Amino acid sequence: MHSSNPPHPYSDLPERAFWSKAAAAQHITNITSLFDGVPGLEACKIATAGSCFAQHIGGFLRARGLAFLDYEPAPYFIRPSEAKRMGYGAFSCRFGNIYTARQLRQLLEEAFGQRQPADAIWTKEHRYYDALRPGTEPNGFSSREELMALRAYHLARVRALFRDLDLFVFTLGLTEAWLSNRDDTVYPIAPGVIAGEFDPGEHRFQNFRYNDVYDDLARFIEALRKVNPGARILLTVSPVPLAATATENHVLVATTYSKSVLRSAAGDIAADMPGVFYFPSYEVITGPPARHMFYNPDLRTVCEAGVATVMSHFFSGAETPVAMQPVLPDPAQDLIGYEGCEEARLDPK
Amino acid sequence: MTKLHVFGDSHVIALNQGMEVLSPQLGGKAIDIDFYSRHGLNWKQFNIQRRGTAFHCSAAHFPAEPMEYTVDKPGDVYVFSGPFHSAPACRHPAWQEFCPWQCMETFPDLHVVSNSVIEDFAEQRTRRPLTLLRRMKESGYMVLVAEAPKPLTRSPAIDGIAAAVVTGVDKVYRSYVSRKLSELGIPIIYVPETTYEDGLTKDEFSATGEGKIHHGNGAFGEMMMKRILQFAAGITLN
Repeated sequence: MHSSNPPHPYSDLPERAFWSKAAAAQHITNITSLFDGVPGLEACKIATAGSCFAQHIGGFLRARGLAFLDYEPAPYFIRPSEAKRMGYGAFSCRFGNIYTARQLRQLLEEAFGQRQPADAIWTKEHRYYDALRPGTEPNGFSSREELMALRAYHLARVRALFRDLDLFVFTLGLTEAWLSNRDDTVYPIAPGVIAGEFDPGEHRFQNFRYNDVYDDLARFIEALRKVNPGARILLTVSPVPLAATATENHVLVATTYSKSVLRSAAGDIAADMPGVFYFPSYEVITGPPARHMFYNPDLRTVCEAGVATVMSHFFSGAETPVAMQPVLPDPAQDLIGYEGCEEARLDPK
Repeated sequence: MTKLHVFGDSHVIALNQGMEVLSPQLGGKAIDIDFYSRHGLNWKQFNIQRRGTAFHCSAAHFPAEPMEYTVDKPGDVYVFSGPFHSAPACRHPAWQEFCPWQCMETFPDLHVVSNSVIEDFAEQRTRRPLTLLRRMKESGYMVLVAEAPKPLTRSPAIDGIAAAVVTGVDKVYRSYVSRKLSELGIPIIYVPETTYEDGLTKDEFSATGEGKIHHGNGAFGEMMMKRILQFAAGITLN
């Protein structure tokens, strides 16, 4: 005689709750129900920021015809390769990479006049670098005045962006950071790597812990909603391992710590605060179903197929708007500045 | 006898016109000059073939006037016009929406760019001409570069770009070219004082006629040729 088990807490759970069916038995590209989607995504004005992995998101949003905000656009005469090198189009402003929650918080505070970094200019070979986004001007600025002008413009655009966006997609990348001892300003990269000089008396290392990350995210969201009460936030964690660690740990151990803290804080913030979502890009790439196949041979960067798989989950449940057509350069623009030159030929004597 | 070869883009026309005015003043001064001009787009992207000590430059961007020019007389003086043609940069319609950082306070509604953005434009436009100049210099040629006129007064209105933006872009562009030529050790014949205070070329030195939005006229060419003759041949003309 067949006897059935009495009901228990797992009896009526959906298939996605069980590893064997939802993960082990599925090819990674067939896994579903990872993400419930963002309600009303199609109508959102979307802004992105974060670590390098987040650079992929804007392009996919554009390709899907969604309203990706680009508040510091590239002049359309600049070469695409150069625009990319200068940080145009990667995010909604030319933030450069924002790796830590503290960086994000201090950016908003600076944009709205609540903090002024004491040491934000680095130099190298008579060129000047914005220490808070040194990668966006790879050759540096010609003068402090030029740097300060571009930073003022950047902050003005950041203010406008934070006021206008409906959905802010932020990808957390690191817990490790380098700070100024003068005022605790957090840099995206250690002084001396791109520009500037590392001085143990002026700079210190900090590996942010769970409470730090949670608190920075919470304070950022609170501050954002003071200027934009309806703003919603979608948090993700970059699956890209640390390139190097300044802790005494092996870089693999340091990576696991860092990503674990970020994942925990992002998940908890999403659970604790209304209008905040967590999107599992980290799980898609690093989870066992992926069998590490989405990493390039360097075991660090994510291949295109991985990014595409992540983004397919991002759009799950969303209506598909009409994709925007790429804007092609106008060949006639090549003739600008050459009007009236046709008679240039001088008959040879 | 000094032999002078003035070659390059459409700005050579004004130099030629200027020389026609100056020629009667030369009297018995020993100088021989020829001019060669082709559409500027040919000088943006052209082939450089080395043949012994000679360099053959060719392009067919505009089939109606294919470019074939050979630099082959190391003992002569070559004057090149081309790298300073900033009009494609400073008259680009993108400047209706963008401005150089130097004038951002005047135009708060425009997006702001750094010098590097303008310099990238200049780098794209001058890469081949600078390559030719470098190779000529390395091969022992005496070569100078003649600066093109600054933007004309009517150009901003025609293009719908603020005058300060046009001149701001122009300034950064020319500064980049000057720096690159200086690094190569190429002398520059700069334009004399031919602009108003706002940096735009005075009408008396501007070409007239439809489509003439960036050229100097004969008077401009005359002033430039006086400078060229002084520098290249030590000839001073009033």
